[in-house]
Amino acid sequence: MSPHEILDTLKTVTDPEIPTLNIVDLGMVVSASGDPDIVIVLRPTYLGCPALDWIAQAVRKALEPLECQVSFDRTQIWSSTDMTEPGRARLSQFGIAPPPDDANMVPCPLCGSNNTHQSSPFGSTLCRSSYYCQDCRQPFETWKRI
Amino acid sequence: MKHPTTIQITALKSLILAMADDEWMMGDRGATWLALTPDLEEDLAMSSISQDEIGHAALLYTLLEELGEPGADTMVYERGPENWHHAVIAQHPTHSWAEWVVRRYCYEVFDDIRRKALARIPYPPLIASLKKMDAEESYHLLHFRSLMSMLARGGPLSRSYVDTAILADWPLLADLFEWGGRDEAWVLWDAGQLAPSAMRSAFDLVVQRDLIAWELEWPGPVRVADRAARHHDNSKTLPELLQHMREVRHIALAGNW
Repeated sequence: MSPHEILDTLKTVTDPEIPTLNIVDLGMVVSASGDPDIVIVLRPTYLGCPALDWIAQAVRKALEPLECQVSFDRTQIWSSTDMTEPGRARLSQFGIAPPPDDANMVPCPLCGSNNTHQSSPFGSTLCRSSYYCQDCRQPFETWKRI
Repeated sequence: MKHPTTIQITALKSLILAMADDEWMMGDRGATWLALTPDLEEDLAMSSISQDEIGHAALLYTLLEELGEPGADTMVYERGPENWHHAVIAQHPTHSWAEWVVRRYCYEVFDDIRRKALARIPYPPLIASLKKMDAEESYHLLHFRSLMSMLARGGPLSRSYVDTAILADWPLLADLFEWGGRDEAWVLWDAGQLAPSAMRSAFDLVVQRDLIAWELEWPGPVRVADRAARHHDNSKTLPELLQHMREVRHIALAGNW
């Protein structure tokens, strides 16, 4: 299997809570090689993320019936800037604002208004912050910038 | 550190173990606040922060495994109380929200100083791990600073809670700064910042400045720890705490959690 084909398969594996965002666009794939054995190295977004084992399992499943070796390199630094443009767009489509350059200037992913504020730097998962849109009066979440 | 000596490996292990155990305990104790914090945002914050700390502990236990120690699960779920080396403050029972905020604020200031000092050790896996932790931890210190400031400025009642909490926790901070390694190690590494006296001064400086800014009384420098620092052989509370912490896991020890 060529690295390109492996990456294509990995694009079918998504964040367990964000079905529109795959792990390649998320920037979690460090390396993928298939000569002759398939070896995939991933990096965690957050060290304490409880989805890591689930994601490794989903990768193995996606490559079946081929065997592959999946591991996490926890010393590979993931940054929110590693998310691809398509990944950011899909996150926004799902209703979560993509990681911003400035935590005080986050357009609402629901209505597009800039009239928003951060209600807490923490959110429902490790990787998100809580926001509120004054225009559509909806709470929403933003992917944290790290 | 291409060919670390036995002294260096031993020193490295005791430094990493002390930090891993601190992070684990703080994460575990933090999780017990869930659904008990003053508001929903704080519950979310404590859940993220505690998960982060437990993730950091897991990574540090992995570094220890690479140096020949047992794996994370064994370290957490099977190790006897005499082999835990967290600071006593990390396992001390909390009597109030203000006490938890003061404790975590002090811990985050200390942890920030410790990570910077540890990054001087030329051991690439440790340096990379610390860098990864730095990005996540920056949110923690900011958060506990803002909670301290809120409590300090929240009126006479909340202020009195903070004052009481500071006085209660101050004598317990001492052994944070000890790590049980031999002094020659940090000389070899050119990491003088790791010396307990250097870490204490760095801590005193930051905390004194913050408390003055919040118009809180600074109780003075942290006292020097005694020789039993970070040793829990005679602890009456740790065996019970460990049992409580392991209760769920021990329902099915061999299970895949």
